[in-house]
Amino acid sequence: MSKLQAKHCNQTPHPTDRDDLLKRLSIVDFMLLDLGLYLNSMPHCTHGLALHNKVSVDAAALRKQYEEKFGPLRMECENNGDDWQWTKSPWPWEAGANFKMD
Amino acid sequence: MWIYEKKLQFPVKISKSNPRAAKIIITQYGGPDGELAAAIRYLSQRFTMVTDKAKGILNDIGTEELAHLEMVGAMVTQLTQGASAADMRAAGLDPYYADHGTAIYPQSAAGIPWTAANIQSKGDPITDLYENMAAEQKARSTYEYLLDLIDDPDVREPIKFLRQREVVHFQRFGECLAEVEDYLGQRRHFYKKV
Repeated sequence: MSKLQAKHCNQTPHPTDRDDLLKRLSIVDFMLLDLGLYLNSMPHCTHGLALHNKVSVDAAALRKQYEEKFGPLRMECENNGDDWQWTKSPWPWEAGANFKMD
Repeated sequence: MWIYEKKLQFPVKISKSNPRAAKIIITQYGGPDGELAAAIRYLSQRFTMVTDKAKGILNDIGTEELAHLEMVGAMVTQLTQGASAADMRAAGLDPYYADHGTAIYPQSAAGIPWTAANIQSKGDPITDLYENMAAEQKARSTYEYLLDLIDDPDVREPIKFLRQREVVHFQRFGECLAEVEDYLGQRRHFYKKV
């Protein structure tokens, strides 16, 4: 590996499993929000309705998978562990809580 | 009511501190065309909106604006991370530092504290929807001016995302206006349509 490549690797560390899952969840959640705004306006669009139902199933599965591995995204969700998990993961406004867009 | 979700709508991951950029981005937190104004405007107007569809659009866009407020706050926080008093002074943020340290305070780029005078909630659904369409355009312009002034891709990416959302919201409010005009059975265009 050249010096330049090594430097590049240091600057952009390999995304973690958490980053990867958070990114996939963020994508489907964004689709649901944007589709929701669209469907507020176009409530009879069959393509939009079908897409909403498909993506909402995907989002629920990804959210469950994420919360089981990396802790609750909502305070309301089931607590896995002997103590309270909600405040343990980083808060979203901290850089370390966020994945890198590529 | 609301349920908080412990993630940002779009990631903010800034590796280089830059208080100079924070000084101008704060305007989308608490400035005249910022996200706080947008959220309060739409979430207040929805109480007197007339159709269910339009109530939904105000409710849901108002909610999204709260998520944008959080993103802008995250950007300002990360841009001033680890900044010393000297760094703040070098960026022209010494007056801000005197009042707020490196805390997040809702103000414009020029230092004017957030005020409800920035928004209108008029009770006339047509007037409110025109206000909102103008507000989305003003926010789009502000994000474009910020993009003129900022080079760091870590900072530009979330700004580009927020700019795109202004465009989408403008479109949704426009559709909403057409629906409300039909509901009221009147078209109040005081300009000539071509």
